[in-house]
Amino acid sequence: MMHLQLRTELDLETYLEPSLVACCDGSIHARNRAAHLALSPQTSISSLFDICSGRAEALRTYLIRCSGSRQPLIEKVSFNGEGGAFDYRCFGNALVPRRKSRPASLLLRLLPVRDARFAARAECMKRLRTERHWRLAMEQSAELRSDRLRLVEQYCFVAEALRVAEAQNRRLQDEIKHIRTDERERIAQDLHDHAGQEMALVLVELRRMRDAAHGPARARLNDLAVHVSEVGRKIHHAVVGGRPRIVEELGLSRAIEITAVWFTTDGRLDLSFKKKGVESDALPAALESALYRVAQEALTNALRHALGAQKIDIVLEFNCQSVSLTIADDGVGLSTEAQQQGELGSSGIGLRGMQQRMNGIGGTLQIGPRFGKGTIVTAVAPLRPEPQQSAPP
Amino acid sequence: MPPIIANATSPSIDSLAVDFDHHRLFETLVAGMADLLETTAGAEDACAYVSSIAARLGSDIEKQYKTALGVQNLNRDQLLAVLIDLNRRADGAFFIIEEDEDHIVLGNCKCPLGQAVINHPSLCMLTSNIFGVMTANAVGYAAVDLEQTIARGAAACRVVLHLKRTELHPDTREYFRDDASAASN
Repeated sequence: MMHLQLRTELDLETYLEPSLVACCDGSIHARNRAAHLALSPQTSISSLFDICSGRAEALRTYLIRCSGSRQPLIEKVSFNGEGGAFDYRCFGNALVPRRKSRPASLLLRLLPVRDARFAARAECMKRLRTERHWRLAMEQSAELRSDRLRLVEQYCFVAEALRVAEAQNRRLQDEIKHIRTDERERIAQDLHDHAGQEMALVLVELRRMRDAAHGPARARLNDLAVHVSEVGRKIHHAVVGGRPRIVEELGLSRAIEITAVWFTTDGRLDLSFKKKGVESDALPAALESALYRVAQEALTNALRHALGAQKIDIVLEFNCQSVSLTIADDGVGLSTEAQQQGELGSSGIGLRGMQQRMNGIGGTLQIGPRFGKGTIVTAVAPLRPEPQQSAPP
Repeated sequence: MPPIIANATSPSIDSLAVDFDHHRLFETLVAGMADLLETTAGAEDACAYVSSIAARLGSDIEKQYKTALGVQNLNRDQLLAVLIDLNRRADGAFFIIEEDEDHIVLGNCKCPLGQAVINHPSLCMLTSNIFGVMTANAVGYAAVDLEQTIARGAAACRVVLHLKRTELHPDTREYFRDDASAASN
């Protein structure tokens, strides 16, 4: 039994059979899709009496009876449809009773007059019901497709977040590597500057004492001098070990040239290496190490980020005041954002590391667009560095 | 073919003890139709069908009483008198058990439909709808509770007419003043 209160037109769609909300005067307020299809789908109808093909007075009397009952009352009614007039069993009841001048609202549900299995009209309604089920299935399918699309979008978002996290992880690993290298070099430098000098003074004094002594004391002092000399040699090896081995073995210019050749062995880039001036045999180890690391980092960046680059030019110039290193590529160049953030900005720990290395030896580093196309990195290291205002300990 | 002549020794046909008469005919017909309706259309649809007939009957009876009384609408006293009277005319035995401002309780120990009503509760929609329609049109609203019915095996019916809207039980049936009566008020 139907005690449902229809709140909105949408609720009518809960009925599979043609259903309408109408007034006692026959005016139609709402109808579901099934009613729309069954009753004159091509034209808009405003009153039941416009499509009533039976006795209008009987329909009027029935509607009035329905207005007095919350429970459905059954009556046979005839309405015109797309294929002509059809008879229905109408289940009608009051939804909202009459209030003052507002007539009662009625719910009218139309069912086949005869057994639903045999009536042609019932077959038609069954087909309409099937079509409606099909439409609902299609709507659900569309929702599923939409859900799948959302899942794919979320997957892409997560994948992008993962990629960013991995890139950040790589940057952190690079930073750790740079910090370790810097610390190692700082310790080596300290050993060279302090312990090494002290050991040299001790050795000189021991030798003087040895030369002045006689007998067993002289032999004993000689043993001590040899021992101290051995300790000094170990300190020297420790200092040398903090520098890139290739620089130690080949010298700065040859080390940079060989490293550049390694970077370009896959044939993607043409390499041009020029050395100007005379390379001193007694270049400070810190200067050699810093310039070599800058060259290494600049070559790495050129390979990684210089899209479209075809050539790398390296110029290493020695003069009496300084050593300058220039590495230029013909790629797409630095982004505007990177340039706005300063010479080095935050475009990577590699660039920051390069800057720190050059600062550490009192040198300068400039990175910018190359004339024409590409990026140019210029590092200048003084041979006699000025004291650093805020040098790291 | 020679005419059949009753044997003088055999009993008269019209004096045979055959349990069939006018009432028996209608009782059997009504009970059979109600049974068929409840079993084929289902209890709910059967109630709806009987309700439709009862709603027509209620409107028709109400119209006759109004015409006979020469009134546009029945007042409460007239309504009670009419409900008792129409049942008396239909060979029922309704009586008022109690009444107050909000409700009227009626009893009945003899159903106008006789034995036909037993086990056929859809026929109780006659009472519900006739009482409901007439009461709603007279006082504006009615809700009918068939608390006990002969149809369901009770010795007597107990029918409660609520005249104001209260909490409804699932089996309570509501009636409103129909649009024609409301418009004439």
